[in-house]
Amino acid sequence: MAGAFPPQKRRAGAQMLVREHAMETQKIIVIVPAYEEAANIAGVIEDIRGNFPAADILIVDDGSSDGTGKIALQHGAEVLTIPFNLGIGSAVQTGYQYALREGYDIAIQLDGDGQHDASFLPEMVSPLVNGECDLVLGSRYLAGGGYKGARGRRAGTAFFSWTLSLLLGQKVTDSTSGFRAVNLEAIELFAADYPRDYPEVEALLLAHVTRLKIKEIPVTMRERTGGKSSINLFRSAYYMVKVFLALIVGFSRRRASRAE
Amino acid sequence: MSRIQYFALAIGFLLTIVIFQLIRKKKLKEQYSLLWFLTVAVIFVLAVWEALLIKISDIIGIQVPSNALFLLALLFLFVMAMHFSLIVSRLTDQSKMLAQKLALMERDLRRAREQREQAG
Repeated sequence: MAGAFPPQKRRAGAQMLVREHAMETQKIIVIVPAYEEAANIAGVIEDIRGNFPAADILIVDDGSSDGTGKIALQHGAEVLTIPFNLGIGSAVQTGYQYALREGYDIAIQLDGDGQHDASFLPEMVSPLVNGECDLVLGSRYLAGGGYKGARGRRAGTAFFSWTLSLLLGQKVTDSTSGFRAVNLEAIELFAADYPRDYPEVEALLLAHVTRLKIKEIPVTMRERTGGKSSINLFRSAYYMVKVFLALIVGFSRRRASRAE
Repeated sequence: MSRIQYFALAIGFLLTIVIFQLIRKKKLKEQYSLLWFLTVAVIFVLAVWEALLIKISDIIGIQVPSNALFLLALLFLFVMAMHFSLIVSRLTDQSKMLAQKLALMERDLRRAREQREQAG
């Protein structure tokens, strides 16, 4: 199970660069929200450790019943166990609260299902270290090739990306990507305020409203290797409506804060 | 007084007793009982003061007074449902924060135990 994701060394150059410049001074944590990911979590931990040993690993077990948290502990990760399922947004937020409390400078969000490739972590972190932006978004659609997601999801993502680009006045290609890295300013924001479920699009708007700078970098994602996806037709519909409503509400808040 | 008025009064009394008992047994919080007592008060007023309902119907332009009653009842239920939605939202938020705090503290406890084991 531990060898599910062999560490990839093709970005060794970038990794060394980032490590030399900032790894000693910056405290970095990878927050991994995980719900019923017993089949994947060990591989995810090994993947992160193999590609980015400078970072601490925090698994946020969002009320799993399959022993996800226990496996993570056995593999030497730090674990937060939420007593019942809160939804991915609140799980991630708990991770940010931990990161803030423990004095981390940079937090990376990486899904517990193994879709996100940890070999991109050094590239995700370097714009933050260089002070180019406050939030780095790993986008499937900036890169050539790789897994782009199911067709329905792709259409939904495209719609939200288009709407969000309009609201942000900045091109966003993969608004539903949960692969992100943020600096302390964003950690503080997200620890205090983060959407509960389907948080990806809304969190970007929240960051924008708080005047954080967002930057997208190209990544490739894998198809999930174990467990099951939480997406079905009803949930997709709920996702669309919820996020759309959140966008409208978020935008009206932005206008209100401008008027002040 | 007509038979329906007596019936309405009887229902009002019955509701009063039920609400009072629920509070006494601490199954209903006082703060939430106020709205229910208000309901009972409205039932009493309308039961005794027949002309009021007719007057209200006239004002909103409803020809049959009983329809005005149904409308008012529906509106009231709507407000009640809204009231509960607000309470549920608040409780959801509070339980979320509790769960998050618990997760963080549980980790601290585990860490403290491990350190104690290592020391002892």
